[in-house]
Amino acid sequence: MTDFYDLLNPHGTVAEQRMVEYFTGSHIDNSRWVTNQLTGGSTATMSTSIDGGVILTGGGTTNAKATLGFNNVKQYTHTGSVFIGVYKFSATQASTIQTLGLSSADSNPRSAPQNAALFSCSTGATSYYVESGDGLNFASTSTSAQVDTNYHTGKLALDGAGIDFSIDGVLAVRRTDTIPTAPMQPVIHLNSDIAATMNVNYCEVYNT
Amino acid sequence: MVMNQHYVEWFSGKELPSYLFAESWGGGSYGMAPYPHNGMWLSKSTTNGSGAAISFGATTPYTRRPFSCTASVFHIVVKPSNPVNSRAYIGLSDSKGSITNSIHFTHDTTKTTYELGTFGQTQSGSTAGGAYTVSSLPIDNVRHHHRLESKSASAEYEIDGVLEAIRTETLPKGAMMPHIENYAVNTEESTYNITYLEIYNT
Repeated sequence: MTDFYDLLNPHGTVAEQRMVEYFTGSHIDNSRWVTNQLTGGSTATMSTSIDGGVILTGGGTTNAKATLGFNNVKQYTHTGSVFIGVYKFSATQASTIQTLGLSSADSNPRSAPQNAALFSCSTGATSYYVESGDGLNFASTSTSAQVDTNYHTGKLALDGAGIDFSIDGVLAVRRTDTIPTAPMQPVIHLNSDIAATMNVNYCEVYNT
Repeated sequence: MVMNQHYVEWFSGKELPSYLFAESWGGGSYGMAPYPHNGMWLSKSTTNGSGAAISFGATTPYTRRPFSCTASVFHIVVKPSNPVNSRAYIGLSDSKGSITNSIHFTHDTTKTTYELGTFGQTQSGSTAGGAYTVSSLPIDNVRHHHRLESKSASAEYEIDGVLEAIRTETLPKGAMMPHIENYAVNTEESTYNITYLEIYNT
């Protein structure tokens, strides 16, 4: 039997805060996650499909939202943390925003005045972009990585000076302005005018 | 190879997981810390004899004890807040007391260093008693990684990857559950923050 601790931490080091969520089971772990923002008939529930994890579904009405967060328990630092998500977007059309990452708010996580580091497929865009907020302003950087409807691994790495966004192990962009200045929580957010969906079957966050 | 029982808790999220039994008394408290690096907290108040604890059991007899007394490993990352007036028992026990059947370490500010304790008196009342073996790490308020291992003829205690103590007497005799308790007979506040817990049978 192997010490799981030793798989994640060099021998003799003290582990930093970490969270691994597999989104497997009969329901979302309600002691860990909160769905504070389900509007317009949107839902967040456990998928019944293979590899489906949790599925956020838009209610099919204008500006309907679904958001998973930690009820504003902000255990991950802006100066050194990593967010990893394995996800699948259902749509790349102009009427849907699909977002994962870290934010200081579990409702409307991707707008000022939040502290945030997020990656998104947003309205009207066919490529990913990285958004961030510093507690006052919000800004974004586009990437050349094209959005599709396959599963991907997205990673945000914060080091206090910038945010590196990688998709499937390839660095897509580094943002260095309007970066967060306060601790955050993981968030998974869908905002759509249609019944778009987003599946997430893995989420890992840790302080470095 | 067939995997044995294995448990990992990150203490990250909006509240404590429902499968842990958390309790406090005398004004003590517990909860999920809403800021980085602190996981959950167990706090003692200024009330003499107050405290807080987590385990797998609410009432006797404690039946949720899936970990072996002769083949198990316990990891924890914990940070004490107070190096002067606090005490915690941290490890595995057959009950919500740590001095019946248990393997644990103590952060006890009435002592000089962290210590490994083993106790071999089961809930049914055998009387093997228990004792402590000192480590080389002075009592502090620094976050450390502690590892306890119960073997068939010994108990081992590592701090930050260094073997600090071995005991071969008064070893636990029965199945155990995690039991982490902040309790002291004084009027000082103290808090222990836990960011990681892993237990498995070898």
